[in-house]
Amino acid sequence: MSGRIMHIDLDAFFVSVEQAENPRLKDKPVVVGGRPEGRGVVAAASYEARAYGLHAGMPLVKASRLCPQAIFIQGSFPKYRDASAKFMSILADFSPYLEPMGLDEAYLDATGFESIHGSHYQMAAKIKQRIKGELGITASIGIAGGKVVAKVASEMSKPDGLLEVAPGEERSFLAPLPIARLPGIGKKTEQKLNGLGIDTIGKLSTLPLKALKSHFGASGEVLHRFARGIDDREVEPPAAAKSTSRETTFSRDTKDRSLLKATLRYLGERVGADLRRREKRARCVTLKLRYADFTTITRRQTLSQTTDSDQTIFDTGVALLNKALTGEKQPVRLIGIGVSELVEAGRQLEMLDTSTQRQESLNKAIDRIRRKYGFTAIQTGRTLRLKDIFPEGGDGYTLQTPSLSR
Amino acid sequence: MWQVVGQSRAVTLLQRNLERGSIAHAYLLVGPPHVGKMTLALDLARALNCQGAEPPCGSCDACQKIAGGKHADVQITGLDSGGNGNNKPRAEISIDQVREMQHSSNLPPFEGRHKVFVIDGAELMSNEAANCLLKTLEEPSEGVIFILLTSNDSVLPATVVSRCQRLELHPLATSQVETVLNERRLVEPPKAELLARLCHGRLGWAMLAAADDNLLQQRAELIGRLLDITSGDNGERFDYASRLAAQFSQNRGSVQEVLDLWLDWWRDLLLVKLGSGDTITNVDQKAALVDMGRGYSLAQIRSFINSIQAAGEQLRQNANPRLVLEVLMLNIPGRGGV
Amino acid sequence: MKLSCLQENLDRGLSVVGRAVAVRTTLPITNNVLLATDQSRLKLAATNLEMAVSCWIGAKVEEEGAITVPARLLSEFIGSLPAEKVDISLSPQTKTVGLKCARFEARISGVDAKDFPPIPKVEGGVTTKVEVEALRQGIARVVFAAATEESRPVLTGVDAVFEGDLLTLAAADGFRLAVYKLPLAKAVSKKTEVIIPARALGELNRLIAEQEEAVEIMVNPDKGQALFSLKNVELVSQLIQGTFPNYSQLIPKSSTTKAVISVGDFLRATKTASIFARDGSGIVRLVVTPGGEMTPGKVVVSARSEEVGDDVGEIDAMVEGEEAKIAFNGKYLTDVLSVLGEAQVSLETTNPSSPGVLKPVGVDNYLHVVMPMFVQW
Repeated sequence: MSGRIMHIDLDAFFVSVEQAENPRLKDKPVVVGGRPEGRGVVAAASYEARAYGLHAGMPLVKASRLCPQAIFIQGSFPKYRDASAKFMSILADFSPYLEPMGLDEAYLDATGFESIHGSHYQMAAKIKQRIKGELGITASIGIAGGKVVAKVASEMSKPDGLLEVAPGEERSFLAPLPIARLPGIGKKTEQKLNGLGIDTIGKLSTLPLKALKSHFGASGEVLHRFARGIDDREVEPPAAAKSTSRETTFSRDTKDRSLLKATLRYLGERVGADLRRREKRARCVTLKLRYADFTTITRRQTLSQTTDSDQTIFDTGVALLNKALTGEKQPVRLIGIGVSELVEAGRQLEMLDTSTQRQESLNKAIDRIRRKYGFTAIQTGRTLRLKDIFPEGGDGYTLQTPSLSR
Repeated sequence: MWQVVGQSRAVTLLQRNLERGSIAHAYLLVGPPHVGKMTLALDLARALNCQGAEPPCGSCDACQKIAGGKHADVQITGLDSGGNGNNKPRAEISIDQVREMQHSSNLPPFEGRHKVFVIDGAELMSNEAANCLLKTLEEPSEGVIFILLTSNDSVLPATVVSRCQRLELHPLATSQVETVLNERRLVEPPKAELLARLCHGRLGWAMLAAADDNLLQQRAELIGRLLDITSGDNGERFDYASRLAAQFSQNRGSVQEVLDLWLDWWRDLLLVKLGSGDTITNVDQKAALVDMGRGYSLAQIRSFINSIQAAGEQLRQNANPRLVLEVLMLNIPGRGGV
Repeated sequence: MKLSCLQENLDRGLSVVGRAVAVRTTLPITNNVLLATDQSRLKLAATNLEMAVSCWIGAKVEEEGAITVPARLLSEFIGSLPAEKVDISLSPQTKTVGLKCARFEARISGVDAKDFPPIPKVEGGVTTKVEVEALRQGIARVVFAAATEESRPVLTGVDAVFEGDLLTLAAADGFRLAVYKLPLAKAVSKKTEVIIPARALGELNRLIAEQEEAVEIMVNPDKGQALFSLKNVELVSQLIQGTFPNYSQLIPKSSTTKAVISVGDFLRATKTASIFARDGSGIVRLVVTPGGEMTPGKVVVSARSEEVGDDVGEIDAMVEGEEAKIAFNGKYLTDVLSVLGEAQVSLETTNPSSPGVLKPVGVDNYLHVVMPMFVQW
């Protein structure tokens, strides 16, 4: 195991971005996710708020009860996306072998790149420095021979930490830690292992492979390797995204078809704009619905011709919606629409009928206006209804929890 | 000869259209099941393709072929038409079926003068199918006539309805049905009277029942069940409610038929009690009705009739069928309230 | 009805009419094939109400008669018989057809022939005659360009204009247009324009594949029918009602780049590129570069795919005019290049969003217009 992998994790990312922008928020309990009386969940909590037991995923109502003095912020996804893009480009300066894991986390294969910076440790320190300097937020970095140990190390060093596990010491580094620290061990697995008398990763590593496999099936083998600090997964730069989607949770569960359609129109337009910006066309449209009881369905439709047209995405989405809601008695909690099977945006020109061509130039024109004046500068009649429902932000409507509304 | 019985308004209008050469490109025939929509559609198809002197003559090759469903230019599309190879029953009239019609509608008649496309159960068209058909209705081909049949045009897209000339077909008078059954010697006179009353003006049903004893047998079973349940205890009633509710999820129509039969029965009870026994539906059950009628007061019967009607209405509005039917069963009046 | 004929003849006859048998239909009898005695021959006929094919085979007729029987069942049975004499007899009461050949015997229930849709008689129209080779060429070069979906019904047909001693066939599906002119062996009395379903023409081409005799054509636009008389075979096609778009205005009058390319090289390069373009939108890019004083002109054919990789092929060409970049759906190029029998083809273009025109070099009776794809270069 000669490689050196870094795991870089931004500390309390959404909150840190807000604090960097507004220094008055510093050192205070801050919650990003929405208004405390809202139905959303905590998307991120500052370390000060975490001291009160707040954590991501907790309903906002509960968060405000535990920590009434917390400052609640709606949050803005575009802002975080920009910060994330800067973060990734800083990392890319250090090594091209970069695998983003969400907005605020990434693995970096640092093997061989340390010579420029002196050592891996110094290289990591420089990364932290640049992030602090350019984004005003702190990062925690773990360095180890494999992804899993690097991640545990960065986790342990938080916040603003830097921890290197020397080559060959991975297993002894993990051994004293509680099993919940090991990535891949969720609540259920933890309980099961505790039932077997296993509480530390060290004890887990001594369990025979056969026993693990009989309890956990195929993932038992992974646990077996991870517990010994063995992880030969490579850092994989992402392939070009193969799909794009947008979704949102309603502030109140709804059965109102015209609201559902208006929202679908808006989300579909954002998906279409994204496709056109990336010069792609899609062959497949997917509708996602979550009902009041949290059952979630997705329905997809493959198109005969690829599209990047808002109208086609919307029409297909509405057809799927009508089909899905036929006979459905539950109100809808969340709606989303996405496209996949993206192909290069070649567009077959037509000889006799120019209606699709007109539609496409219309979409392009709308995109241009929106780039210049903001997304809500020009709207289709159907989405105007959303004005009454969602507050308007600088870059489109602010939908509910930003972690969902991308 | 127009084969359809009654429906003089619709027939007169079509005849006038034929005489003036002002046949519409699309007709929408609206009326309850078995009232004569298909018969009228085929009458029009025959009139348009008849080779005789007085269309529809009924005796020329074209008329006979159309009546026998063998004419190349008269196509009937419904849930069970156009063998799709796998013999799976369809839940809706599909866009592919509409496309087939469209394709055919752009070709000239094969043997007759006009292509006629009958869509039986137009309300069963899928959304895509209806939208696809709309295009054809908007740009009709010369000499092509679409006839849409439906018992409920409120579920058809307004855009489709507005492209069609709408004709309503109404139930016939009981006496009219009886006369036809006797004239055509389909059944013996007493049975003709019974069927005429049972069919509620839908001649097609009476003719089906005349040809197929099963329908009357089913009715006898349902009446037997009704009598059992009415005299039974709550346990049996709840069992029946849950059985009907299960049946409802398979076949809504069959449960509505049960409710219709119950309604007929309790109305008959009312009539018998009021002394107008001649106008009852279940003429063959008069003795049983008179006997049963003694056990209930007028108010009880009236109130239960209201319950049956309410139950039917609630089922149409998609209320929980089991709940609705259980409530109905609980409302069955107790005997001896004279 | 009682007759006998040879198994080979009956088998061939059934395969001739077989493709006119309806597949999905609201009229079940069109799944059947009609067997009828016709003087000393046996007539076989089938129709899907869009076209009808009749075929006559030699037979020894002992008793006149007619019946229809399920086409697939009959042809599968006949196909499995030895090449010997087949005896056919009909029992009129039960409408059962008895078939006997060597030691095989079968009985098939039939349906009354009078219920079979009468094959339209085409008369009173314009008559003409076409040499079979010219017709084969003409159909092959246009029929693939017709639309396969029904949204614009006239485009599912081939426009046929008979004028003087010239027949012009044209097909278009909204993305491409093919126009072929062929001589008529017998001039028509008046100009006649009809739209023949592409499926019927495709079937006609199959039927004339092994024929040498000229094909007689009778067209009656008023009744909407056309009759093609072959040797012992007749095909009647219903004509599509409507007006074919005026395509002459779609053919570019001039161009800025003209490349003359070997058909074989161009086809090979396009097919190779299409493999790479398959998971994309089928985009094949062409870069046409004029030659210098010492270097020949060339056409670079390329495709790329995110998953598989990319492909670049280069072919020599004689290029007049400016350098050009244009992208096409690879399928549209291979479709047309595959039917060209000539050695060379010219490709004329004006700009990346104007149609490209392909013409075989050395003849002036065929042209093919393809709309490009708009892509990022």
